[in-house]
Amino acid sequence: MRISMTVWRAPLFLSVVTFSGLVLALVLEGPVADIAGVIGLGLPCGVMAWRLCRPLR
Amino acid sequence: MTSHALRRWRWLHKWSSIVCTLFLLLLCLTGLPLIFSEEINDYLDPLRSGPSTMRDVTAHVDETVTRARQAWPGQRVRLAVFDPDRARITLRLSPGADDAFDTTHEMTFSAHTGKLLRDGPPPGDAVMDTILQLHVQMLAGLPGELFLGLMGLVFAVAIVSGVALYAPFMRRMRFGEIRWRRSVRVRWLDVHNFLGVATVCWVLIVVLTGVMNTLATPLFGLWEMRDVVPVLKPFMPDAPVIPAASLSRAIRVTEGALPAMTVRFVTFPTHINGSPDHYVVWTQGKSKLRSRFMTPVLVDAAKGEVAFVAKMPWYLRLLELCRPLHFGDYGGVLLKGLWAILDVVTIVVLGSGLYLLLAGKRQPAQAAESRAEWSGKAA
Repeated sequence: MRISMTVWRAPLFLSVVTFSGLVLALVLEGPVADIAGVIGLGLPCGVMAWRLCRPLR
Repeated sequence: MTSHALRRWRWLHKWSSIVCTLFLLLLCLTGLPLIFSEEINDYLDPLRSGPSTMRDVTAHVDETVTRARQAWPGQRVRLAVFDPDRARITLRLSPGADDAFDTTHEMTFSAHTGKLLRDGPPPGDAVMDTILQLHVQMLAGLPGELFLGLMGLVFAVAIVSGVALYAPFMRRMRFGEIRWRRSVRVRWLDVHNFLGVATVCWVLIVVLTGVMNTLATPLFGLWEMRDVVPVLKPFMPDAPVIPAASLSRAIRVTEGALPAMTVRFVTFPTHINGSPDHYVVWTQGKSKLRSRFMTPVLVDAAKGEVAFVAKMPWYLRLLELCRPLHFGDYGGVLLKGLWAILDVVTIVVLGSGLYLLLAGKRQPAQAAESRAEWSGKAA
C-alpha cells in the first residue's frame, strides 16, 4: 500500500508551528515570547474550531 | 505499509490505549485546575498590597523569623519562601528540626512590613493540594509517581501507533474531514483522528515532560548521593544547630557570591534534605529561562559565610527545563487558556477512543462494516 505524503502536510505543519511556538515562548523574553506561544497553541486550536464548526462538504 | 504491519500497529494502539486511558483521563481532569493554580490561589488569597522587591524581603526577613519564634516558642523554623511579586514571606515551622516536612505548619508575613498576615494554610490549600497529589502520585507516594510515569510512556506508545495508523485511514480524505452523514461511530472515529493528529505535538511534549517529572525524586536522590553526601558527610553527626547568623545575612552573602541569581527559598539547618550546620539557600536565574534553573548554596549557619556552591548535573537541568513545558505556566493567561483548551481536546480524544472501543464491542456488525470499509481503503 502506498500512502501519499500529502496526508502528512497539514499535521506536520501544525506540529512544527506548535513545537516552535512553545520553545520560542520559553526561550525569548517579553511580548514576542507571549505571541510565539499564542501562535504555537492558537493555530491548532483555531484549525480544530474551524473544521468542527464549518464541516467540509 | 503491509496489511500485516497495519494489523500490528492497530493491536499496539488498541492495547496501549486500553492500559492507560483511565489514568490519562484522571491526569487530564486533575491537570485542568492545576493550569490555573496561580490564578485560583490569587482569587482565594487576594493580594493586599503591591509587589515588593528582594530588598524589602531582606529588610524584614529577620523580623519575621523572630515573630514566628515568639508565636511558637518551642518550634524550629524549617523553611523560608520568598515571593516578592506577591509581597509575601512564608515560613514553615515544626517542633523538631528533623521532623517530616508534612508535619510543618505555615505562617505568612508581609514583605513590605514584616507583619503577620496569616498563621495557617491559605484558604483552599487542602483542595488544591489534594488535586496536586492526585495528579502527581495518585495519593500513593513514590510508587504512584513512578506508576504514572510508566502510564505516560504507554500513552506515548499509543500516540505513536495512532500517528502510524492515521495515514492509512486518511489517505482518501481531506485533512479535518468528518463524515457527518455516516454512522455515529464513523463520525466519532473521524473526530478522534482529526483532534488526535492536530494536537499530537502538544500532547507528546506534555506527556514526555510529565514522564521526566515523575523521575524527579529518583534523580534528586541520585544527585544527593553522588554530589551532596560527600560534601555534607563531615557535618552529618552534628545535631541541627540554631543559626547564630541571621537569615538576612545568609541571603546577602549568597547574592554577593552569585550576583546573577535571586534567592527563592532557604532551608534551615536539618538532616532532611539539608545540612545540620548550614542554611541551604536556593537561588534561581533572573531571566525567564534561567529562572527555571535552581542553584543551591550552603551558608554556614554560625559564621554566615558561603561554604559551598553546588553545581547541578545535566539530568537535573533537563528536568528543570521540562517543568515549564509540562505546566504551561510561562506565557501568561492566554497561553494557559490555550493549554486548558488542548487539555479538554485531549479528554475528548481519550473519551472518543474509549467510545470507539466499547461501541466496537457492542455493535460487532457495524464494526465489521467499518473495518471492511477501512480494509477496502487500505488495500
